Amino acid sequence: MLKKILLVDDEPNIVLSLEFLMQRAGYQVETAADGGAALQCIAAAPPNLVLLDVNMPRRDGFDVCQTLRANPDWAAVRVIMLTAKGRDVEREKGIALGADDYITKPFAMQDVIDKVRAILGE
Amino acid sequence: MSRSALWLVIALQMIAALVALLVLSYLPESLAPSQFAWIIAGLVLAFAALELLLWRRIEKTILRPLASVKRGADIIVQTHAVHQLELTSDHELGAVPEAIHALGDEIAKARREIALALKTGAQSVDAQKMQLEQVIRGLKEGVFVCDENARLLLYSPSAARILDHHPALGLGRSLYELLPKEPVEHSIEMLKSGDTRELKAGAAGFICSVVNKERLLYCHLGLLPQVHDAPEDAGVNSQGFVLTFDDVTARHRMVRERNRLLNTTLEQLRAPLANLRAAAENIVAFDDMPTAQRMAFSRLIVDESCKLSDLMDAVATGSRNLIGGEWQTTDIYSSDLVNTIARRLAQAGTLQVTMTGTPLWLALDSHAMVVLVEFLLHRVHAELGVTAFDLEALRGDNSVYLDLTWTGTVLASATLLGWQEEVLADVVGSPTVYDVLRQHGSEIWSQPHPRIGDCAILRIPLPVSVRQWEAEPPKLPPRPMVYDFDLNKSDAANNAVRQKRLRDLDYVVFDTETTGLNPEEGDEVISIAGVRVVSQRILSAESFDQLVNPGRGIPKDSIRFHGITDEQVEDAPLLDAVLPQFRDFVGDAVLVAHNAWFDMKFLRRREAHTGVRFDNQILDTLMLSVCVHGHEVEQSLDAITGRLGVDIFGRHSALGDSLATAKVLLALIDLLEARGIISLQDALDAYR
Repeated sequence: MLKKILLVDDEPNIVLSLEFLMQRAGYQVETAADGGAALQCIAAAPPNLVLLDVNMPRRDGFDVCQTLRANPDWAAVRVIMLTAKGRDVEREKGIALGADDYITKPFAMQDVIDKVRAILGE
Repeated sequence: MSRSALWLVIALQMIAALVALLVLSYLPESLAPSQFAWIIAGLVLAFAALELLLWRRIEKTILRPLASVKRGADIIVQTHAVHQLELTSDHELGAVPEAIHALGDEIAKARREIALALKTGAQSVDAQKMQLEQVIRGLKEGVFVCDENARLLLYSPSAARILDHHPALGLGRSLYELLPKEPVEHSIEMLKSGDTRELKAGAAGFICSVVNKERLLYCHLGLLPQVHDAPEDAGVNSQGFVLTFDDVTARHRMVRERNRLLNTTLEQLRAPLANLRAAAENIVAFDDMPTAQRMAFSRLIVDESCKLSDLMDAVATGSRNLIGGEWQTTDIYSSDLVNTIARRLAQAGTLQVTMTGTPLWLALDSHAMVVLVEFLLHRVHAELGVTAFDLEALRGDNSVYLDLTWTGTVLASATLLGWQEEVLADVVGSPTVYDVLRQHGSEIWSQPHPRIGDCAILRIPLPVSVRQWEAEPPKLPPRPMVYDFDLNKSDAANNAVRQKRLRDLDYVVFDTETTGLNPEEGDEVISIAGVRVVSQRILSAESFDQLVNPGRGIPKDSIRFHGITDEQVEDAPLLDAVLPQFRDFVGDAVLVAHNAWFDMKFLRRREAHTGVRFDNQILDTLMLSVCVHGHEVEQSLDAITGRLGVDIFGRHSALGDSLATAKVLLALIDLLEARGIISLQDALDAYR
């Protein structure tokens, strides 16, 4: 059975590329355009990994990550945060709130694939 | 009749009697001397012998003790009133010594009374002085007060810190050893020639660099009111001035780097963007282009995107150090920040805040941060009902974490996000929480306490002050003396040093500890210390104390004298590195040491090699002591300090001996003056 990745970003252009890439890499991909929708998807069927954008309207990525980590049922869900902010404190904040890794935009597509595979233990 | 003449008369008597006896015994029979002549000659000889014995006794029991009494009386009058006369027990001066001791006690008592009266009278002056000191100590800006010759009369602790404890910093020394002369003199001229009253009363601002340091200062110079009778237009500056200054090195560098970053980024953005846009427009406009052409454009898009990514990374890295630079931050110790918050909340009687952990240095807009933290504490209280918090500063990766800790659950990220929109009305400009956090390059979040279960924290990463990494300034005693306005009264600077009065000269009294006594046989310096003496005051706060790596082993026998071991000097600098520092410390002061030729031999041996010359005037306390007390008495430092009633601490450390020698110098200056030895020239003449 294919591993499932949830792609959360309010920016359709990056979703277009990442969805294509992840499907080509052999994953089942689901997308959500904001934090609330992401949590609904997770509640319905927890994915193996969430690629989670930080800057989103209403519920941001930090909020989603913290909420996700607060529920022990979802402890197995891995989280990689994506952000347009490149400051060290944001990276520290993401990790402190339970993210497994952190990728700063812009990034090389190959790096994203490598990180996803590493975190899923492949 | 002098003592030597008396001895001569006795000797002549004896010789005459002996000659008479000889003559009598060799006279021919015909001239046989009478019995009477023999008796006369014998009597004269016996009388002379008696005189000899008598005079020896007088010399020992009266004349020498009298000389000692004279020496002692000098000391009693000039320096040490309770000095004990150095007398043997068989003197015939009767009760005179007791009377002199009693007199000494009276002098001591009178001096104490005078000192007490002066002290009482000076108390109110002291109180005001202390207030002024407190004000100056509290200033972030450095403060110099200079006389008309630009000599330092006062420097604030912050001035010493900003100048990184520059070796040329010291009372009585020229400002121009620290700062360039031109901008200072230009500012003085501007202020003096200004037509308007406002300009004369105001201050001139300028930027200059520190001598021998890569440090930029922003200075304000204001003239002191004229207190002397100096003519208004003497051609040269005849007015003292105050200089306040701040270190703008970092700010200046930041502005320069920011401008450079902005300019290069703009330039480097244009080309890749132009290429990307051209390629993308071509692909869209001509969808019938051959596959090979389309591939070429696609590869171009990848290449140019990568260039833009790299540029982005470079800009991000470059700007990381520039964030917050436009804000006026101050260095503050986290304990001061936390205590301020705790005090304010305790006064309001709402929340209880306890400081935990080790304090760290922060660079903050401290008022904004106090208001922000209070806001957050109140919000946590309102949200979770918490009333007691611990505040702790912790070293993070690139920042200091200020953790607000409470017993209970963590705060939701969404809640914190909501708070960030709120306005902090008490901060100048009414910024939002978000604004203040961004100003400090910060973010906030809540997480479980890393070490204590049941506890949660709200973490605020904050910028570290450079002071966190600055080495603590060299071990200095508290700085009781940072100013001396009396320097004004000393002689004009153009008078030759040798003509100056001994009491007006600036001295550096120094001492070295060495591995042994023979530099020719490979003995080396292991410690140099010195202390400045200005206007008859020992400025113990302005001392030099440096261990030196001798580049050889320290003989065990010598360790009992100086207590310095191989391990202690292992990481110390070599003499060649220490000599230039010591040279800077000495400046143009007169060098003083006890048995100075010995120490100078060690200092001058490296002259040719290092180019560091000590061509200062030199005084030797041993020689000065001989001038005062003669060769007959012992002249070791211990003997002299004992004789003059000088207390010494830390003997046989270079600094301890320097301080003792400095005290001896001051006592000797009084005694020399009583002998008419007033100027440096007089002293040098006296011991030739």
